[in-house]
Amino acid sequence: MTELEIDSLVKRFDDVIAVGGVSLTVKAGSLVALLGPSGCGKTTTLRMIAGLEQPTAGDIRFNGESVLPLQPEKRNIGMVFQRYVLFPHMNVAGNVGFGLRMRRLPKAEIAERVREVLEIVQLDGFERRFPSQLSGGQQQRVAIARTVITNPRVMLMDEPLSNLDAKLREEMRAFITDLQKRLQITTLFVTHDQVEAIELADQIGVMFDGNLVQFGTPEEIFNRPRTSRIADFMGATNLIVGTLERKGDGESVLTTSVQKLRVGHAPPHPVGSEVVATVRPEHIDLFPAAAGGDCAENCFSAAIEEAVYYGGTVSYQVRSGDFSLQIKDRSTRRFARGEGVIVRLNPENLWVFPEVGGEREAV
Amino acid sequence: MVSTRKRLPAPPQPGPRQHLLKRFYIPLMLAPVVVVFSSLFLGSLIVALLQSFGYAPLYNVDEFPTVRHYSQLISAPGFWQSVGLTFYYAIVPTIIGTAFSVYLALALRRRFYGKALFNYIYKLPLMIPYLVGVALIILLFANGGLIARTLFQLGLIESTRDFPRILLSHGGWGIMIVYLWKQIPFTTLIVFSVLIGLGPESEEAALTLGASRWQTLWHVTLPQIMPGIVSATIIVFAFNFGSFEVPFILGAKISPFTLPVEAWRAFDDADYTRRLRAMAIVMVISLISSLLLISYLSLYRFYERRRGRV
Ligand SMILES: Nc1ncnc2c1ncn2[C@@H]1O[C@H](COP(=O)(O)OP(=O)(O)OP(=O)(O)O)[C@@H](O)[C@H]1O
Ligand SMILES: [Mg+2]
Repeated sequence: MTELEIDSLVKRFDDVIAVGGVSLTVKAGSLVALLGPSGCGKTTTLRMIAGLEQPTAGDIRFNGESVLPLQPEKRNIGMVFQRYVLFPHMNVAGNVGFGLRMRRLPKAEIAERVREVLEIVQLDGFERRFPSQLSGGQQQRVAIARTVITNPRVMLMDEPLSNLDAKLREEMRAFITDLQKRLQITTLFVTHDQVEAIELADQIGVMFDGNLVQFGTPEEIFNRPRTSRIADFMGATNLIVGTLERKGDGESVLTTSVQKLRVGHAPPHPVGSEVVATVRPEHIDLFPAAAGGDCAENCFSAAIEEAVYYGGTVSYQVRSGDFSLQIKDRSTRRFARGEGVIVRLNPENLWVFPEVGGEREAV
Repeated sequence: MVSTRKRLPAPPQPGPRQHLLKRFYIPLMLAPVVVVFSSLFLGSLIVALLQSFGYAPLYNVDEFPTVRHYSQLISAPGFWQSVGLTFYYAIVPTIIGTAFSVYLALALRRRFYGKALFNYIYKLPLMIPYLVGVALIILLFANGGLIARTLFQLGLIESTRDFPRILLSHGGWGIMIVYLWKQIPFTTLIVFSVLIGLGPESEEAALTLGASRWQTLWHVTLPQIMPGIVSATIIVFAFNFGSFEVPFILGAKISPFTLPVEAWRAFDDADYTRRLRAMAIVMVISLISSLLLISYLSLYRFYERRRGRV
């Protein structure tokens, strides 16, 4: 198994800095998702690892050994492209066996391996079909089969699911996790879909504008984003500005324009500094105004400004003073527009950004 | 609330006349082209065909039907040499030119110093008539031409006569150089466009799968640009096979001549009735090149079918 290490990788195209010094490690056999908005340099990073693009600076190492001197065909990586890129003039067997044919393995062995791999991707019986005769999902499985057959040291996947419809995407997601766990291939997976990243990855690297801004487990990125921009990208749109105070017993309290809020964890900011906290829309509790008495802490009354029903959840916009919060409620209870409610922010779900001021620029 | 939605009128049903119009719409639109094309092409072909079988009231000849002109042509001394020579001048530059053009088109995708200029210059012969190419070749390669004189001045040959005979010989290098001069840009342009349309992705996929540059070219690039190569070679070969003025001016002045030159010589004869033989030659040329193109195309289709395209 191979550990992939990217060290201060930079790529400059003329006057564009596509990747501006990214460092990360994909542990042997694990799957890391590179998550970021369009144009942040994800594909460029993958292409440098594959050897299709020369880095301007930095190093790429497999098990501690630099692969920069190696041509792409010598790196023994597997790359799955967004648009599949199957060879249209070869049938499925031809596509899947391609890597082994280029390595001049005996014909019988290739046929045997092709059969095995097609079975793994559940495409046995499709050997004679041509790419144009396959569905999108089937094409993508051929593309994956074509790379795993060569036992790549590192697997690179560039938004392999973005061309599939929602249902198929879910199936393929499960399929890829399964395959990756079974074959234990070190994998770097590029996506701009946070749900996909959270579901697939052992660790997530978030990239903005060519820089890696946070690297951690899906749980960390989801619940403890480092900046408001990451929080926003991860779907946490609620920002609460306040001044940090501490109580005697080490508890932190956020003084906001509406209410004093107790926060479960707070970074060691100096007392009195202005900070930004976030809470995910699905982590906020709503009660009818009448039930107000039961609520002990971090509660305040608010009015429903907007209520939109999506299958299974209701999305509310509530306001209290200059607080405006988005809330996703999965319960069967409905509040009407204009109705008064009690909002509770569980201290455990309130997350204060580690940067003072919370890097509020891009919200 | 008042409904603002209005009732939509029913869509017009196509009447019988509209049906007719629809059915004949495309043939009608094509009619002008078809008429011009068929009167020019089919008309002259039919006249040539009739004349070659002995029907030419214009020259007071009416032996229709006779195959005399064909049998005389085929049994004439040097006929098969003519056929061989025509093939030779057509095939050699087609093969050399295609190989060179593919190489050039591949090179043009890369970055190199002076690419913009080269990109412009290489297309120039496309805009210059063949005859200018012929003149250039004579200026350069004739025994009294620039190259021979330069070599003589440099003392590399003892007299300009020692310069190898490139023009007016059955080796035909002068002819083939003109063809290449014109056709390499043409084939390069076609192959290059196909390459650009193909994009780099499938080659990159091949590289990441462990194929060397050479294997990638052979197994991934060439098969995919084959349609472009086939179309270009068909056009180039057909042109070379039927070309008249280039071998007429630059070819040897003694028999054998290429078939088109033979046809012209027969046509240009003081004896009008020889024109019937010229028509027989024209028919033979057309027959050979269509047979060749058909077999080449069906071979290519067979190749494509084996690769799963239709
Ligand atoms: N060959 C190139 N020449 C110049 N600029 C490039 C080139 N390739 C990429 N870029 C630029 O580099 C930046 C990063 O591009 P990249 O393709 O890596 O983004 P990405 O994160 O993969 O985006 P997406 O999610 O849309 O695929 C972009 O601003 C892009 O315009
Ligand atoms: Mg991309």
